[in-house]
Formats: sequence, C-alpha cells, structure tokens
Amino acid sequence: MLVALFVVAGIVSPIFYRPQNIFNVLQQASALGVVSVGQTLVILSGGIDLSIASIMATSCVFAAALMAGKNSMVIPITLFCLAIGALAGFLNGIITTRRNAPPFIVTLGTALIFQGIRFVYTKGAPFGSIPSWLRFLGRGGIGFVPASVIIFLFLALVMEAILQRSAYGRKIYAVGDNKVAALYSGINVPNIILSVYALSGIFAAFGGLVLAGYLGFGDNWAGKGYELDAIAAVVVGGTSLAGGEGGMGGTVVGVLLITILSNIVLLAGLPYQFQQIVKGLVVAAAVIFYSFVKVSGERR
Amino acid sequence: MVTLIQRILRGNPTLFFVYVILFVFFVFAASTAPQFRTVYNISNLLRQAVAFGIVGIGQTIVILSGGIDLSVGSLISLAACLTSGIMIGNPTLVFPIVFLVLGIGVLVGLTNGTLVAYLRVPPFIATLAMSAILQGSVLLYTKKPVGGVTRGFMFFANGQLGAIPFAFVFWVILLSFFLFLLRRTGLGLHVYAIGGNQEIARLSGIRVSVAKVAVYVISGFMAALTGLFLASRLGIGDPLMGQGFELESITAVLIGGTSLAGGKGGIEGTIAGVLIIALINNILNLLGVSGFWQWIIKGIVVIVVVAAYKVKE
Repeated sequence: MLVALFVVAGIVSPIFYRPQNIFNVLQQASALGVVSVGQTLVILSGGIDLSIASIMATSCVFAAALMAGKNSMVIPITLFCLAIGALAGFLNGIITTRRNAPPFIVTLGTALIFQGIRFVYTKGAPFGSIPSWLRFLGRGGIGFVPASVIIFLFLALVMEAILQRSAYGRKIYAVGDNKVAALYSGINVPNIILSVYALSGIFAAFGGLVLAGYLGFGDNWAGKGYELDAIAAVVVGGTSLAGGEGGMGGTVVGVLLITILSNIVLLAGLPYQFQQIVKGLVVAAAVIFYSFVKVSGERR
Repeated sequence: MVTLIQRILRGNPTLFFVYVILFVFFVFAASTAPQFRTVYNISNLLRQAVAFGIVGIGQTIVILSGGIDLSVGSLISLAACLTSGIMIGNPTLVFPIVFLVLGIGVLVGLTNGTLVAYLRVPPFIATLAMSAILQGSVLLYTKKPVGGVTRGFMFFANGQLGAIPFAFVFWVILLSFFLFLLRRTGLGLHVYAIGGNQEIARLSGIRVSVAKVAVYVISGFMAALTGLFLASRLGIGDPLMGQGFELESITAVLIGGTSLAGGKGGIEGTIAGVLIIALINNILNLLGVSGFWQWIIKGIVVIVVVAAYKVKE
C-alpha cells in the first residue's frame, strides 16, 4: 500500500520525487513519528491519548522561552520539557487507573489544562528562540537522511524490541488483550497502564522538541491535530483500537502513509483544510477495514 | 418537608446533591458579585445555558446509550456558518435554511450512528474522525465569520416573552419533550437498556443498532439546532464557534450524574449540569478571570468530575 501511494504521489505531482521533497516529507514525518510511538504503546494497552498535541505545543513553547537561543541550555531544558510531558502523562495515567475513568475524556481534560498553562505562561504570545543544536535536531541531516528521522526510527526500533523481547513489553500486550486475565496472571495492571501514559507524555514532549527544532520558534499551536494524526498512523498500521494487537512496524508505515497523504493533498494544489477531511476519512476507513478483516478471520 | 427530602435522597442521592451544588454556586455568585444580580446578567446567563442545554440534551441521550459524540463542536460551527453564510439577511430564505441545516445535522448523526452501530467503529473514534471532516469542511467554506442573519431570525435567541427570554421557554419545551421521550416511550426505555447492558438488551429483543442510530441522529439534530441558535444569538456564524462545545457538553452531562458507562442518569441531572457550567463561565467572566486561566479551570473541572464518579469494573 505504501508503494501504491508512492506511485500515486508521483502521478499527482512529479515534484514528489525530488530529493528536496522526499527530505521534507521525512522531516515532517519524524515529529509525528515520535509521538505515534507513544500513542502505539497507549493503544496497545487498550487506552487512548488525546492530550499529545497539547503536550507537544507546551513543550515547544517552553523550549523556545527557556532555551532563549542558548546551546548551553539545550540539555537541562530538554530534560525539563520531558519532565512536563511525564507529569501530564502521569496525571492521565493516575486518573485513568485509580478512578477507572475513560481515558479519552481524561486526556481531553489534561489537554485543556496544559493549553491553559502555556497560554498563561506566554500571555498568548510565545517568546524566545530555538538554539542551533535543537535546530539541527529538527532541520539538520546526515547526507540525504534528516537527523530527526534517524531518531524516530531508532526510538521505534528500541520500543519494538522492548515490546517483543522484554517482560514489560509482553505485559503491555497482556493488559490490552484482557485486563482481567492479566490481573489474575499477577500483572500489576494499574502500574503498566500508568507507565504507558507517562511514556506517551514523554514521547509527546520530545516530539514537541523535534517540532520546535523544525519550526525554529515557539508556537502555541505547534502540533495541532497531531492527536488525530497519531491515532490515524497507529490504526492504519494495523494496531487494534481494542488493544493487545499490533506493533511499531505498522506504526512506522502508518506515519509515512499519513505524511505522504498530507503531502499529496498539498502537491495536488488542494487547500490544506482538505488534509483534515482526508485524515478523518482515513481513520474511519482504516478502523472499518480492520474490523472486517478481523471478523472474517475469526469465522474461518 | 423533612420526609420529602428524605424520599428524594433515597430515590436519587446524586441528583439531589447536584441541585444542592447548583444552589450553593448560585448563592455564592449572588453574594460575591453585585453585577450578577442584575436582570440583564441573569437573562444573559440563561441564554448561555440554553446553548449548552440544547446540545447537552443530545449528548445526554448518546451517553445514556453507552456512546459519546465528539463531533458536536464542529457540527455547531458548520451549522452556524451555513445559516448566516447562505441567509445573508434575506428573510425568504429563513425557513429553507433552517430545514437544510437541521437536515445536515440529521445526516451527520445518521453517518455517526451507522459507523458505530453497523460498522463497529468505537464511538469516540467515529465521532472524532467526523469532527475532523466537518471542521475541515467548514474551514473550506469560510475562514472568517461569514454572512449575516435577518432581524426576525435573531428573535430566536435574543427575543423576550415579557421578562423571560424566548430561548429559555424554547429550551424548557425541548426539555419536556425529551424527558417524555426518555421516560415514557419505547425508544427511551431501549436507550437505558442498551446503555445498561447491550448484550442483554439484544437478547431481550431490542433492535440495538436501530436505537443506536436514532440516538446519534438526535444528537446531530440538537447540535445543528445549537448552531442555528448561536448564529441567531450573535447574528453571524464563526467557523470556530463550536470549539470546546463537545468537551463542555460532556462535562455538563457528567456533572449531572449521568454515567459515562451508560444506562444511568438522565436529562434531569443535565439541566443542573448545564446551569452549573453556565454559572461557572458567568462568574469567571464577571470576576475578570482571563480566558487562559479559564481553560486551566475547565480542564481541572473535567478531570475532577470524571474522577468523582468512579465507574465500576
């Protein structure tokens, strides 16, 4: 399917194959990729995280304001931003597990809180700038390969290894597949779920930093709509929304698919609002497609 | 009097509690902000409550059935923009546009319902995807406030019947209709049964899929009606007008004691929830709290409310 899309992209616009455009597409894919890695973990555990876009923007705004263009501040502030992400994820996880609340509404609430926090902090007008080290993370590249893509693929690979090879990874699948069964097998279900949301928060904050490096300034709405894009990427990649099925490999393909699709919309000369419509359709179509594949598989 | 309170407490303690909270908020508002006590402010507050109230009715019914509708915000924006964008002050177009907009609401609800009931898409994903599609469409249509409504159409939201806002009377009529629908008709009973336990409902011979589609159609209709209301209230439709309505309508429903798991609660509670949300908004505005802080406060309210009603496994 990815190949088919590559061909279609070329037909819609020959510009697509230019090295510069491929480079751009990969760059744009990586911020989405990083947050989709976190979203995959959450969805595998049977949850959903709608707060990632807000965490991304918050991390982006704080990075610009606190780094203020100084390379010496990159490492401490990066840690600070990741801590904010972890905090948001921890809040999501604690309310979801301790109070058994539906994650989509909890994470929507968290999104609103962090939206408020960054606007209160910047009074609506983000300030500061992104130092050159972080700029390299978002814009730089080694030859034809953007630095951010290497990081995205590395993170996906590490998380895939953890998912498939470690006890922790297997527990995430077990929780997503059947909570009660997991509980009876002696798995600490609330802690697994909590850790998954915390990780998603950290990945979202890191994705915000990648985006900050790409943009070069703090943007109050950086990453807007990425919660839906990430869900789209994960679902298109074959991870089941019910949890317990799927993996990072599918998500990587899904991320590239969604990004190329957005690119095609622009190259075809359609207004960018079309992207939103296309993504909505893709999410619905993917969920319907996989639910039918699953049902016919069960009947056989 | 004491026995009456005892009976209410035993019958539905959550509902009683919610109305006590509403009363406390009201007294707090009336005693701290002198501007609150003006007739102008109270009728303004009621109008604001009606906007949440209409969409809240639809959201209550969806949640009672065990679903959720996250597409109402974008649908409200779309409805409001189409209303003012096509009308452009032409009185002969009022009725056709009202039918068109409500028809679009029904169509959106029908699509949501089909996705959820027949194609087995989880409700929050189906309606989230729908929300993206609708928001994209309305931004394709217009990027800034568009057109204008007629003076006659503005009566819908801003007119007075003596001292009472017409919109409030309209809301009360809507409320009585849907209270009747939920408590006294087959569909209402089915909605509660499906929300309680879908499998048992199916085995009892209830046509679960049909009822689910009906529920999303009602929600779409009510969201479109809210869009008409907002266009009438402000005289113009804004493509971002409905932003936040999905979350605030869900919060109002939850404050009213309706369980997100479905099957428990009702419109009686949502009325109080809607009034509480409108009161909070009103007080925050009167106290001059900035919009940014209001986001934080509303987010905390959402989290506290979902955390307060613990769902049983």
